[in-house]
Amino acid sequence: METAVLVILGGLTLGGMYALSAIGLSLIWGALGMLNMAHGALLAIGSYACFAIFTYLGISLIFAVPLAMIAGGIVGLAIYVVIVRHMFRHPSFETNIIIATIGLAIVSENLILRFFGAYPYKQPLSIQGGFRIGEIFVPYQNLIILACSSVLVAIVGVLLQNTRMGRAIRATAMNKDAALLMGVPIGRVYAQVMVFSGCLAAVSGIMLSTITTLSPTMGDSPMIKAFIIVAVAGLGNVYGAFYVAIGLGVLEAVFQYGIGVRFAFPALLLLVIVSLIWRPYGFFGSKTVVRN
Amino acid sequence: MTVQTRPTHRRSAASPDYLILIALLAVGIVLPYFMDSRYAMSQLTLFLIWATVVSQWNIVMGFAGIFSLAQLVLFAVGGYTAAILGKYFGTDMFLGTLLGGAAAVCASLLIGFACLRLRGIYVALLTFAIAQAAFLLINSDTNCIIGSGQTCQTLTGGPRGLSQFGDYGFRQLLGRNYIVGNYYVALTALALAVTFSIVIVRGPLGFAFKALRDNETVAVCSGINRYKYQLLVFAFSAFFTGIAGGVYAAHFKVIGPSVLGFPLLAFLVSMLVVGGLGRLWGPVVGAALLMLVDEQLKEFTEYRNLGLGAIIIFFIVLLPDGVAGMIERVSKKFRGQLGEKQGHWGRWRTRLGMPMGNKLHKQSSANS
Amino acid sequence: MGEAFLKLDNIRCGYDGQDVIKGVSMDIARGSVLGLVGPNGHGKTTILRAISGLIKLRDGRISLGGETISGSSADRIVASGIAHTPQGDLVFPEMTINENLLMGAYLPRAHAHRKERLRYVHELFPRLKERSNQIASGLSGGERRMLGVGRSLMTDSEVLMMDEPSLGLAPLIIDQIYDVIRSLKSEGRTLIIVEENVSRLTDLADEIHLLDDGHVIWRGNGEELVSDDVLMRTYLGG
Repeated sequence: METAVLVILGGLTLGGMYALSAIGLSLIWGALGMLNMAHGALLAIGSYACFAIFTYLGISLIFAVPLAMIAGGIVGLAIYVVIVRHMFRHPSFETNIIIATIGLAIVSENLILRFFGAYPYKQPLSIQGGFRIGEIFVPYQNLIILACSSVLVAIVGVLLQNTRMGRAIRATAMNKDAALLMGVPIGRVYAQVMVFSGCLAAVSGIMLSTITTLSPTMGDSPMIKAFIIVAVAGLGNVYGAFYVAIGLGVLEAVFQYGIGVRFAFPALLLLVIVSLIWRPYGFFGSKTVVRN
Repeated sequence: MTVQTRPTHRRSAASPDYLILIALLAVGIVLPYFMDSRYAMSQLTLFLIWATVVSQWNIVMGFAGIFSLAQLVLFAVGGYTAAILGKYFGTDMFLGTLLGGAAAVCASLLIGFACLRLRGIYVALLTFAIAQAAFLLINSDTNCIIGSGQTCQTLTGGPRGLSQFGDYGFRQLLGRNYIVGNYYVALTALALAVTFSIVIVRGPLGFAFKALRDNETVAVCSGINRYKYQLLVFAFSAFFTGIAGGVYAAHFKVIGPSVLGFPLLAFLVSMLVVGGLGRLWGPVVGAALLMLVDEQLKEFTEYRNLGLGAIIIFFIVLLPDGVAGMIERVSKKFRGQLGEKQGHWGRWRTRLGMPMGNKLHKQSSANS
Repeated sequence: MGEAFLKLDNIRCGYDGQDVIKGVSMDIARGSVLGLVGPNGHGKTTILRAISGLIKLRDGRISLGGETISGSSADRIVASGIAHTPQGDLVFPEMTINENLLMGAYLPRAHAHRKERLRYVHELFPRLKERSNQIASGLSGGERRMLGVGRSLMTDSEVLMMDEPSLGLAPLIIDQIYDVIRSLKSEGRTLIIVEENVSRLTDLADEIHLLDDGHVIWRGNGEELVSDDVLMRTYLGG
């Protein structure tokens, strides 16, 4: 009983972190039609930014986290301005952008390595303590991660659903030409989406680093999980990505408990592939949303 | 340039590629006689191995439109198969290498069955995840199959990799110059791989894929089955990729999970991009250039990956058609100056260039 | 005919290195209705796409009220007061009807009056009001056309361009759409209508241009066109 609750709690925490980075990826895919292989790098940049702002600049964590989010957003914007913007015109944009962001991921990983070294720092942001329900100890840390990501996902959801900017982002994702004809400056929409995605990735990275440690490659494995989540949810489907993230997080925790850490990810991957063969556009995806 | 000229174009197009191949092969064969440095020979052998891998990757990605990021998994399957057979069964490395190729074909069929029915971008997602899963599985391998504790030997060797499984046995045959033997094995592999590329690109399959890119609906209606053709190309190219893995293992006498790591992926991707994705001779040019650059930057090893990343970004943003595309453009200019007559340069252009888009799926021209 | 409001000056454009429009000039007066007719694939849609900036001009100039608009991006051109209802409607499939209409009021000038505009469109197309929370991908062809037209009315633009508003619709719905178009004319908006069905334009359009192979080969009004047997037989299948 206790183990079941603990496993599920751990899974929900994982799912919460995955959700934030998966939503960022999904937004970019939907609006720009690009697969961002540098998303893991954004996770790392966010958490190192938080670490550096607190440790070297001595700024309180209450400000360090938002500042790190801003840093993530700025890097996202920079990726758009310096790289993505110039590649749209090429007929094989979809292929080329994957390659370009692979290059970017290597550059960023190595820059972090240059500046911070490979030492596995601990993220200063961590909440001690917890409470007990009967025999079970529930750390505050996990609850806060879950709460933060739920709140952020809800904010993104409201933003997309109910604001003029959010509608413009969704419109751009559905049909670029039609969005233009409504007067939507799609260049600006692209930039906004990249900023959002960068912010969300930064938070996701900070959360991740509070339960593990900092490392230049810390974002790689969560990025791959975010990829899988986005694929299962249907590319470009933001809400689906949240549910799938939570589901896969729990599933991963159960697998880790049941068949060991080593085989949890391959088993998950196998499950995902089988389900994709069964539903090629993902569980929440539809042919129409995906750009063709 | 319509229906009427196509057959002649095809016939004349096939031979220059083979001529280039024969010329390069001749250079490759005599090269060892002018080299006295063992280090240089070893690096040349490595170049041949990477050129083989990249040429097959180019066929898969640039021509067949399969965005596979699992090419190095196939390479590793080949290498590990040869190594494991050699280590535990004492299999001869030549046989091991061939079996490695066969094992890679099996792996590619599994991956292909799982992924190729899906849309292009999902192929990229899943193959990348598969590569990561393979890396993690090998890296966390702690199940001893022989011995325990200090003497524990796991099947894949875990993070340290496998070694002491033998080589091609050129040491007994050639003594100190045994590397030359490895070199010729690698050269043979590359020659076969490039021949296969030419057959694919200039042959009926090449036309089928071109048709699929130009107008998928029409192509499908005229009986072209994308899935079947892609699986076919993926499996064949996996054979040569697996062979390259076997040659790699036999040459270095060690293989480890680093062949599945990000740095090597980046190195090979930069060869593809610098050479020119979707150009027949691009990968060979790219592999040569990147090996040369890498050699020059040996003293700055800590900046190596940073530099590779920068090269990838630079080329894909500013020169997305790579060096081969650049040569094409320059020769076009020359041809313009020489007038309409398709001269020497023009033919070179067609060889090196042959622009081929590699869209994952078609966008309407109105959108682009 | 008043002074030219929307002016096309010898424009040239196309796709993939080939010119579809090979030098077309037009002067469209404020508040007038221009009909574009001609065989399929001879550049009617391309002209609209060029005006709204979806494709770039290779040569020539387009101006609106004396200001050059060609060369700007599509969203700027739309902001300057040109609405384009494209062929196939291009509604946002995963949005509700209401959200689609609100997208029409994206531009600041329309956003400020979005409630009135919405009421106005609902009056013209009661059907869209009834189904306001339905997802657009489930609409019938006629409803989708209404949504497409309604959405471009939300933009509150001076110039409205419609690409084959009657294509593939039942006669009853075509009548309804053309009633709306007539009421737009009476409001004094400038209209450009691409239409296969010349008879729909004869009493509506102030001027009709016949396009063939990227050139305007004939200009005149509806009655002249219909009475010209040779033109009708050669180009318009009449």
